[in-house]
Amino acid sequence: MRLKQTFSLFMCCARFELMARMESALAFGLITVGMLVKIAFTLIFFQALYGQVNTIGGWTLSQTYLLLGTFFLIESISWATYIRGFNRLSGFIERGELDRFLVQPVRLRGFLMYRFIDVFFCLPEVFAGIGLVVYGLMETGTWAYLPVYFFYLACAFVLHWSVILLLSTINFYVVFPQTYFLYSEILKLGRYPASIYKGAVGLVFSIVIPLTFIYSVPAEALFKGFSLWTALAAVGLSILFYALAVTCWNRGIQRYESANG
Amino acid sequence: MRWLLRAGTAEYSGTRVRTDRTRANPSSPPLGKGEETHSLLSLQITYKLLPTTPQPTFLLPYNPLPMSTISVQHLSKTFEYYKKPEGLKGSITSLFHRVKLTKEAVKDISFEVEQGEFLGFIGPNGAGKTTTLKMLSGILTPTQGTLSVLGFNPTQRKDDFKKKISLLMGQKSALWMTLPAMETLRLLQRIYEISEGIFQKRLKEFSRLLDVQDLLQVQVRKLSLGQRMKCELMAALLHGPKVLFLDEPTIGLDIVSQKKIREFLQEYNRKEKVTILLTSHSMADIENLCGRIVVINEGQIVLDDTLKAVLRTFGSRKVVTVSFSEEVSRKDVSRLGQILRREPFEAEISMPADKLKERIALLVSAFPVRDFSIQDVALEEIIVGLFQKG
Repeated sequence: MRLKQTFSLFMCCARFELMARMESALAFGLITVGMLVKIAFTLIFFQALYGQVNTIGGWTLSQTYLLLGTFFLIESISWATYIRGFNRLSGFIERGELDRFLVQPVRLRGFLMYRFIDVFFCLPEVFAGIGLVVYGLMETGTWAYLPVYFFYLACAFVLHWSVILLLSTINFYVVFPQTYFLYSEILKLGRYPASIYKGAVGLVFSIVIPLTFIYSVPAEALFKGFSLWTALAAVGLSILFYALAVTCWNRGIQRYESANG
Repeated sequence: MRWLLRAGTAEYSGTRVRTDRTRANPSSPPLGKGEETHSLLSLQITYKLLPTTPQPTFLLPYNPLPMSTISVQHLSKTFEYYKKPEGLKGSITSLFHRVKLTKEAVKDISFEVEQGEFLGFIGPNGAGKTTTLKMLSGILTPTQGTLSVLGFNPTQRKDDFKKKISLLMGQKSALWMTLPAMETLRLLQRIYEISEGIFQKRLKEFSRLLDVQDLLQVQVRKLSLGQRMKCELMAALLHGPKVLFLDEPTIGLDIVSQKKIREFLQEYNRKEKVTILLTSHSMADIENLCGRIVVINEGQIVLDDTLKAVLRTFGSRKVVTVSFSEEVSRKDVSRLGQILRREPFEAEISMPADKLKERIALLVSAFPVRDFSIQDVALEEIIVGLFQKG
């Protein structure tokens, strides 16, 4: 029943957000152009880098395409769904607008995942992501590793969602409208192969902020295949981060003090 | 729930049989040796088990104890905030040293509300009305005390609880501004899992009663405040809540819209037996809708009684407005009672209701009266008086 209701709500929210988007068709057009320019510049940047060297951190250009494809996929889907919702949290808390969500029979952290879903927003990057992954696979020829990739991708989404939820929870303690910059600046580092980060930095990006497991591990699986230890680490970290994020969120929400009385 | 007490296992008279409407009332005396406590939703019964001696067993007649829809016991809410000195220097100082302050928004309040009751929550700004409503609806977590709404603890924010309540805030919108109200209603239909049949029935009924048939397809941001508030009411009632929390629903509305909303709420409360808690600064709202009022000031309840009793107790004076055909001195007028307003040919005088007859006789016989009228003391005056007394 819960699943059916969630799906029904998801569809309803997607429809409404699309209708709202149509109210500002020009803005939508501009955003799409902006997205395409961003993708193009990223590709040109990496082309330029690989013009100077054969590998970066042991990754070839084709392998980096797999990484970029994964990066675009995760970024676009998360920005079109849960980041859009959690990004509004600081405003909701500051203005006391979270009240209306708290009295509705929905689980807020789940509801915010699709309440402001914008399907069209993510399409250019999703297509670019799929295109890059397919192109990379054509180059490496390792299509058989796709199921492993999807497994790691699922873990990556759990980790990514948990990191975003953790960052959003800060708003219950200090209203922090710039959470958006934190998301983008931290997560942008995932575009580069994890192996370029050595020593303590590498450890930070593997465990503290698990960028490695969000972007590099799924991409790497597309040319290296399955590794039991990596899989166990991915699952373990996903469970750990999910539990941590949900606990912090629940504590944060108990602290919510509304506004205006 | 049916309660059957067997005389013989629990002594019914001559011993302590305590009924308490709270599950964990801190003020309850500690249980004595051999006493047991049994809880039934928000009802707590404590009785003492005695050594049993064989006695004839019989069943007491079924006499259900009334259970409150809302039970609030020793509820308190304290907010913490920081004091920031003025200016940039103050901002820099507060980065390193913050002066923490606390505000007791609600202080140890207790009250109960029965099913179908229309309760008015009155108080000046910052008295703690909205904070109480937010605790009752589960938005805020109390600092102390116990709460029970329809047998649920609102703090747990269970979906079953949320489906049975509704909160409407006059100053905050639940509608999607860029889209017609109908779209928000559709979303709420899915959130509350309302069947299409019931949705259509309620939609038809509410839009007829509130006269908004033509407004549901209009973008919410294009609606007037009054029109929007009617749509907000529809959104709040669509899922058929058993308890409705209304926080200043008529704020900023013109008198026609206020009247329409009052009539609707009155009818809805009468027909559906919904328990309604209303906070409002409009005494017209309170006088027309509420059977009982709770006056709250500085976080504490200063009065909790029926509206009739309040008017009877505190409205023991009448206000007489007189027009004179000749100028009358202030000194002469003061013989009639307390002067509220005086002009050369007119005066407003407050008189004790029990002495009204003789004072009117004096007025008519000894003064050059052209016209006069008698009014009750307005509820507003009573409330202002209560606040001033503190």
